[in-house]
Amino acid sequence: MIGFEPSSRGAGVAGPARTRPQPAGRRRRARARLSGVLLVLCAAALWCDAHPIHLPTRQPQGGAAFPRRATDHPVLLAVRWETYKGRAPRTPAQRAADLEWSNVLTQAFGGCDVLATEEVGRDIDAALQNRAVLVLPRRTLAGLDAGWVSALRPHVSQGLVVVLEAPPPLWAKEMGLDLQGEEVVPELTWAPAPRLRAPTLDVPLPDPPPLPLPVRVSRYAPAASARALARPILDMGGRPALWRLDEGAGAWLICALDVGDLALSIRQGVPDPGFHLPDRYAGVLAGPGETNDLVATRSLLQADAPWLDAWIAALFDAELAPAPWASVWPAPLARDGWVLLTHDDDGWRDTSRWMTRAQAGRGAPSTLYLMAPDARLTVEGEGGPLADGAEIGLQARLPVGATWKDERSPRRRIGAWRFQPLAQLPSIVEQREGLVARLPAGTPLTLNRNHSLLWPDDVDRGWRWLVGAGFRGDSSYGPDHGAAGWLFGSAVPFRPIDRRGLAYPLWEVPFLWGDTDGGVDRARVDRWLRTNAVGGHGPVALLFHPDVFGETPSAELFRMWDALPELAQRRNHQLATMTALLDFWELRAQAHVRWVYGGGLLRVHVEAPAGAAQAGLAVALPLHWRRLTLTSWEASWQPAESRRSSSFGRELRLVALPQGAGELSANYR
Amino acid sequence: MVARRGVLRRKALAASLLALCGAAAVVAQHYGRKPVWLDNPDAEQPAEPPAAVAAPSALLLYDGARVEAAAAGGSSAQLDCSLAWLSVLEEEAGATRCLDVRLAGAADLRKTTERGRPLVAVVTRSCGALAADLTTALFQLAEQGSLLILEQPDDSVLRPTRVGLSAQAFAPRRLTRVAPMLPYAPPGWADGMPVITTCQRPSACPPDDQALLWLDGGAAAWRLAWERGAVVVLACDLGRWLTALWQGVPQDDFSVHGTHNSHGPERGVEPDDLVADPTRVVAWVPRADLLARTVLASGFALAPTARLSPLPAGTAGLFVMTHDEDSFGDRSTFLSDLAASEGASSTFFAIPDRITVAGTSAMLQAGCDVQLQWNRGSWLHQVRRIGVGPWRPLAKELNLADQVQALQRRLPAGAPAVTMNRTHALLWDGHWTRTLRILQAQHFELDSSYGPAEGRFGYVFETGRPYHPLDVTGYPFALLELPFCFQDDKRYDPALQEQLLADSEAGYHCVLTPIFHTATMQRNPDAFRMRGLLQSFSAAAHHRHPVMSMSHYLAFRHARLQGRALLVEADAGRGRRRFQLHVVGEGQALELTPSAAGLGLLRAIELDGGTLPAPPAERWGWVQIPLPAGEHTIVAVYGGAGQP
Repeated sequence: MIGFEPSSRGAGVAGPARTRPQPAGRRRRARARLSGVLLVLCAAALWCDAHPIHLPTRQPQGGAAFPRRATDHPVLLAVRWETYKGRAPRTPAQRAADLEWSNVLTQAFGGCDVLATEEVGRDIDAALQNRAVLVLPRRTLAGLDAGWVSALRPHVSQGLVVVLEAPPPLWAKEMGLDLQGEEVVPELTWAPAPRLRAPTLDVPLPDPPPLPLPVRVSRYAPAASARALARPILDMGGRPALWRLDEGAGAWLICALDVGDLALSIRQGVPDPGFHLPDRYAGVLAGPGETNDLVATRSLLQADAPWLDAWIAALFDAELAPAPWASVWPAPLARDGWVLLTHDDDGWRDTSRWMTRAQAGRGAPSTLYLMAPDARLTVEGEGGPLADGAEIGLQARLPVGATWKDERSPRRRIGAWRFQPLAQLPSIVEQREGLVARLPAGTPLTLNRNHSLLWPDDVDRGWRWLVGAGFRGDSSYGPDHGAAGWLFGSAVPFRPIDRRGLAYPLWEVPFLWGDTDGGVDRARVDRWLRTNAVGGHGPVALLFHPDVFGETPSAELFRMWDALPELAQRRNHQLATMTALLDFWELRAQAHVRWVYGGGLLRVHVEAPAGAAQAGLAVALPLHWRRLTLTSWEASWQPAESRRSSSFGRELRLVALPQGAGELSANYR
Repeated sequence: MVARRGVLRRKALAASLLALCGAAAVVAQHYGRKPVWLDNPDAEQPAEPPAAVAAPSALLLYDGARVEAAAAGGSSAQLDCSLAWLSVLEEEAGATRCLDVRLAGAADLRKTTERGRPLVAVVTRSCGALAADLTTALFQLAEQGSLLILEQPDDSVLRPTRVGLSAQAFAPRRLTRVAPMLPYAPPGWADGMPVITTCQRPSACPPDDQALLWLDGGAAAWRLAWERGAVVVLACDLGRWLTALWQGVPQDDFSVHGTHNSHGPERGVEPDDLVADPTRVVAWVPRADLLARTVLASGFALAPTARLSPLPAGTAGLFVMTHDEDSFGDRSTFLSDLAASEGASSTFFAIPDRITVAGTSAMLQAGCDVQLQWNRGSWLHQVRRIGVGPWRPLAKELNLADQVQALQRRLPAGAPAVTMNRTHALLWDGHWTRTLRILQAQHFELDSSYGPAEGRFGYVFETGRPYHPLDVTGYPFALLELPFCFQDDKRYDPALQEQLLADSEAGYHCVLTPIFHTATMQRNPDAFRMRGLLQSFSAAAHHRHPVMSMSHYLAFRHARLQGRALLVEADAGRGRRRFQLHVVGEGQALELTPSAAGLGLLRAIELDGGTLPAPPAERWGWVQIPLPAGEHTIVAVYGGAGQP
């Protein structure tokens, strides 16, 4: 800084400047300080411009609810409403998993009604009219007095099957069992007997890996004084897991295992105490903060079979059931499963189109998740993905993880003119609206997958944001960083359960594999499809990034992707979009299949919703029940298209549902 | 006052210094952004007379003085293209010796042929009048069973044939007809072919059934049975014609104008700007090859011959897989992995910027080549900034030698030398052959920058074989040009690729050279492109076109040209011919003319004293027998039943 001597200018007094050094020095120092401050401010401003301060984003807050459903469905889940009135638990082990049964029952039967026991108790006879199965979960049972047993008994005698999850001593006594104790088994052996296999096909279900997953097991023993004795019918790890007590035309099924907790832990993962997202697989899975950190146990990180599906199939196995149970087939009649080819655009510009175009050319529709609001993909027009029959979902960017503050993130800059030291990530709602604005009017945007599969540290928060933004479906659950397969035990759509045990009105559809980390080849996908075709028949959703094919091309990956439509065809899987799957799943839940069995004759009353025939909904009847075989069947509707299939080694007869109501008679000899 | 003046002086000095520093900073910043470009010219080396080949399978006679005199005019119209025959003979006969008739006479010819007679001898138009004894010696070759080709010969040379040509040459406009000498050539293949030659009207000529070509309605080439051999007389300048088709047509001063390339004239030119027939979008037929083969096949039908196959034994062509790296870096190795997994090899042309030693090592380990993608003069050119620290106000474009060095630094120790090139973005010099001269100066052996650019596909330079391009001196470059036939990111379709392979198998017998860019799925992604690449391996195998790298092909070609096939004896009845073959390297094959005019089919073959049944002729008109390395004696016996 160049100074000057004001004293030599102001008063015109001549003299050497050094004779009055004090004032000049002060001013100089003041100026120097000012300059320094200005310099620091400038530097700070420049730095902030390059590294803005991020303001928190206000996200929408949706909520979970009690999913009351009273549609006269033959399967009823009765849950005690009181369970949800208390304070939210602090650890995952304490969360109420009773409503997870609605996911289990939907998977097994196609759907179920959900009512509060308080409502059922007001008029049990009315509530149980036309029901075939009633499920009373553990926490619900704990709050119900044994007087319910006598109220339920007449219905059981007339054919109702009541499933009791870990009944308390008084309930157990009514079943002729003594509760000898409860224990938490540190490792689930997963060896149900009779063992599930697919002996008729070329896919032996491999022995499941031991799952170091704590499972609550209630130990029962036959009560010496009991008049009617329940019999163990399913054994796990050498101990009874399922008991049956036949009574009249119906039965009581007693689960010694805590099925709801187990299913919830596997399907939705296990958060850390406080419902924090764990970093459980550090060293195995790079990149913390993703959904696959929730996976229940390490042995599920490479799961080539849907173990939860297998377990649910075992629980409701026709061989064990008191009657040959009918259910709604989880895929279109002609198909043994679903293949969903989904893509994350990752902001890779219009060139992403090639993938949807190529898939459309091979009859494989795409579900394409786009980033917003700066989506660089033109969705409209002749060459756009919508013209290829693709559906668009949002690839939401959440303010979580390590990279969301990067330059690439679509931040809103806040400041004056060019000086914008603040930044804010648009909320999911803004991102959704931004993408909707890019779509032709009326194009639905109801699907989401989080960019990089990131999930907030507070696990519930992720669901709340998505529900608050109005999404119908999400597919952020899935593997990354080398994991692959049915990490969450199943891939069928489910309603997430929050920490209090309530259900979010959102479908989560886990995917099996994303292409970013390799590790899966065509043979492995083929193995999955073969397993699924004789197993759970659910969706096999796969994630392909157009940019992975461009930025890190691989001939093997391309070959695999290119072969998938043909592979799906060969393994009899339906190629579909996420929306088509969810539409089917919701339609399936509306189909009511009610059965009455007696004297070798199974009478099935069917009420199918509009569009059921077009969607290919079908009823599944077991070909074998106990020592009887389905020898003939007759439907009141025509044409009643039919074929055989199997599920985890149990053969089934599938019959297409009619439009509206119909009667089906099946003879077992 | 003195003190105040001193203060003022100090202030002025400080202000001046500040202003100076500011100005310097502004100037520095300006030059930091817009550097001063330093010249960094490329060395050039013009083409020179071809080196001599001992005991050749073919002879090419030319007059160096006339070639040079024609070149001195500096006009493309006057350029003597006699030495274009070198490429024809190398492909169709084998090792070829070029004899300058100024320096060599009949004695040299006899010396050259003392171990056996060449299969073909060509007297090019540049020769003019030959010494009488040389003429006699040449006709003696034909009498003894060789094929003698006379291109626009002088009357004195032509006299024994009783064909006469008028001195006046004209520029024909249309190829009216071609004798059907090639069984696989599709009908009408020559229709619309550009005719870029001069022709002399015949004053006396044989009957029409001996004519091969008709230009503007008149015969322009004839074949004559000549005792045990044959003579072909060309009234047209075939060397010029082929050169124009292969190498394109520059302006008269050899400049090239960017008329229809994708970059636009201001960006520079591409070889595609030179194509002789710009109207042809999809070029299915390598017409220059068929034109040359028609001439040679007509002679070989009268003088049956044995040659070393221009392609490896058992193949119907080659699929020389090439990849332009385009600064995609080490990610390009997915293609070398692919080639290795398919049991094939390929050639990567790499820009020496992003690729690393790890990447090139992986490519070389997979058996692939890593060669140069010369990034010149384009908007993405290679630049070296010169200055101090971050301030680098000077810049120079890396010339070819710099880029070769840069690539060598990115190769592992012991890697093969950088001797092959494809220019990035196919940018060519504004002069017809300057690019080739620069490459020649850096000892490149092969270039593959010629080929179809935007919107075109196939044999746009009318050939599916490599050739020695001619310089403006009239001499051929030692390096080879191997035109590519398609690019996966331009006009491309796997069906077109399949058709190209099928046609090549059926007869054209080409060295098909595709370009599959390593970054195609990043820059022009489409499933059919990748699908086409993956299918190309099986499609090529199905059509008997092994997929290989350029170095593998060049190694084969080099070995073949190290060998020779000589005619040792032809009996008076022309039914029995003995050949001496020297075979170098693996995978070589002997090819015999399957029939002789008037004699019938090849009846038997005696190989090194043993008799073989004559195998059936391939569809492209040769009988092929694989031969191991070493000396072999072949006797071909004609006179089999049936008509050729």
